[in-house]
Amino acid sequence: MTSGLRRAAQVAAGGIMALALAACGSSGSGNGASGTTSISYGRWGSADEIAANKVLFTAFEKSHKTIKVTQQVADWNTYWTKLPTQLAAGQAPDTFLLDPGYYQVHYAGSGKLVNLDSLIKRDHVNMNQFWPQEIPSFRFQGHYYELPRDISVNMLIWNKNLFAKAGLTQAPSSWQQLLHDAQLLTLDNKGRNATQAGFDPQHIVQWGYGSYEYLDGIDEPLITEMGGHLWTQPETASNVQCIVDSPAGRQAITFLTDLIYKYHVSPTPTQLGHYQNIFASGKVAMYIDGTFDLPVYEGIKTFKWDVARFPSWNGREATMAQGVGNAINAASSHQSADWTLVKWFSSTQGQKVMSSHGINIPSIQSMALSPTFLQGKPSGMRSVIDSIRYGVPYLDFPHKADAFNYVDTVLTNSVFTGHTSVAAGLKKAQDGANTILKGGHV
Amino acid sequence: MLPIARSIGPKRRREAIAFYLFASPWILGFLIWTVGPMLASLYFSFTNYDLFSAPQWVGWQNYVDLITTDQEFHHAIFNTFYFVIVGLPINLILALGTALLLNERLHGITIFRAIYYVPTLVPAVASGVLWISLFDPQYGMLDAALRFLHLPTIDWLTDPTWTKPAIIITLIWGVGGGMIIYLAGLQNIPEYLYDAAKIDGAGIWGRFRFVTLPMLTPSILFQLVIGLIAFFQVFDQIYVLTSNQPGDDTITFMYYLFQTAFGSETNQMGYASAQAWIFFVIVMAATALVLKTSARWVFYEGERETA
Repeated sequence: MTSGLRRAAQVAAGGIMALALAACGSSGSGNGASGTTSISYGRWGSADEIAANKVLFTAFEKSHKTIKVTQQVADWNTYWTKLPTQLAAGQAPDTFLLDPGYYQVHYAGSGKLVNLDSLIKRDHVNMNQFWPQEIPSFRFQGHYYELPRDISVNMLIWNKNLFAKAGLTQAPSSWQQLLHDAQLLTLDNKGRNATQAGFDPQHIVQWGYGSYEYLDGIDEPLITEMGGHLWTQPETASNVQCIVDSPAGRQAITFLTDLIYKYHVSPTPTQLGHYQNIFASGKVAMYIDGTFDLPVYEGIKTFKWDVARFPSWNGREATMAQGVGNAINAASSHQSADWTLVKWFSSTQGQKVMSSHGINIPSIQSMALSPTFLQGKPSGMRSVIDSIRYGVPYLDFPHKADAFNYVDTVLTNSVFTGHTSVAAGLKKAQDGANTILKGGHV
Repeated sequence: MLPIARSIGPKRRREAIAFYLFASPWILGFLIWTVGPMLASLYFSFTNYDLFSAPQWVGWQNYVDLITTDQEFHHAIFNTFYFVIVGLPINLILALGTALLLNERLHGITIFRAIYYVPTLVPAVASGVLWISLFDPQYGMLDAALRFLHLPTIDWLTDPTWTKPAIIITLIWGVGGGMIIYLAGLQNIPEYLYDAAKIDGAGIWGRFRFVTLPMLTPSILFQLVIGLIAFFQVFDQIYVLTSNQPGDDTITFMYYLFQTAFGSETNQMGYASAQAWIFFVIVMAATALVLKTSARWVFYEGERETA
């Protein structure tokens, strides 16, 4: 070999060695010395939820000395981008939180999760202690793939100061009452409310209600109260169709958009978009949001507020009640430790720790209604939790999320912005959703 | 059979082997991490691979769906072409303009050149966050300037008429990169050409048109090809600035591909792969078109001009 060639060979050898070293990674979990098992847990969440979860892990590790838990977190969007790629690469956490309403079919249906039936039976986990509304979400083809952890409900948040100024003392319990109250609470720059003569809709400084497009949180419960549904029932049947373009659907969406364009008690989407959270800025007197957003409102210092349940329509009640649960990665090599953690999260001990830290409503019914959870929460919280029994189904079926997103996009971009009529928008949404449910693309 | 191959002596062969050995890390990397995945993606584009289950062959169905029924895809292609056709010329002209302005030999001119170049060093996501606050209708500087001029304020990121221009503004913020290329090109133009032009009576515009522009055509071609590819692939700004807003006026091809692969609940990798290959063909065609027609307008020094 000439010196030049030898040098080239050395360079190449060095390069290949460097590559090989760089490719060596370390796996996330393993068995430590003296028999402790390390497992990983993945979840999404805000900073508050993550901090609350750390408290849970500390409590768990105290009572289970042989298991150590590390948390992997991401924000909501990143979590669903990251988790599938991790699962495909075999590097997903041992246990993770799953939102069954959109992901059950994809995850449970492809064998990525452990079937928990035999473990539930063996350890006598009482499924009746959990909210009946969320239990069906965790089943796939009749088997359980998650244990319930917490449940989120939607709530009507109302500004007590603005209500008092308008002479009102409590939140509306029906949508008709909400419209009436909102008209008293919508003020123009001369201080006139929407019922008074000379009210100027072009110069509103305060709105009574913040109407925005929230398909599963507002539209669907209202449609249900008016006698319709988003999807054909039961959603566990094969061949679910979208039926949002029905008399009830049109009535509901018309009512919600009329609040903006006809009665002028709600800001337009553009006006809403100017605010991080329009209720917290004091610009609307009423707003509907999920209980998972309570930390946003708990930071309000400038006025008093409370929560109430989702308004009824003509005496019928419905609401959004969505549970999330913990699943076990079928590829995990520590499934016994994983099950111990998952079971603990849904046990009385675990749910008690959860009740005293953070805002997640526990899945065990008695825990959610206990003083431990309710103390420090707004006084209307009990009524909100009681409304869980009116929750609309939260089930996944093939292509549901894509069909849902399509309807959501059409309503947000075209109907709530006033660009398209309700009838035309709902027809487009329904047709597109049904194409997607058949596996097509729109 | 090439005559050269027969005449490679042992020394040449050793040199060739040394060359390949030195280049082997790059060649290996290219094969393993670029060509390999490209071929895999070509395969997946004929399946409905969802990342979790084994891919199932669907033939041309993905391509048929994309070309005929997927309105979102058509919208994405339209938006992408809008950015290319509107944004790229503006970018080229502004880059050339700033380069001409900063080509003067003045004291401290390098500070200005640095100021114009620095934005290209800011990562796209960081600059996106910056632009969100600049575009804010209440507190942003742009609307503050409009208010100062007694003009109506603009909802940059929510008004459908203005979301695309807003994205183009953020893309133009990076003219510094093109400016540097043009500055190098400008400084390579020999003085005697300008002297000759002045003697022939050419004014400022004449000198620009007959000396500067022709001599700059290689740089312009480079900027055009690079810019074409970059504008076709616009993603970061849209992801940061407008993906959370109502309206899909800024959904571009890359963003829609990202959404298909990672945003939908089933990670439609097969469908996304088909999108990627359709787009690859489009960008290749556009680049080939530009390069093919370039022979007519690009002037390389040292070429013999045919009479």
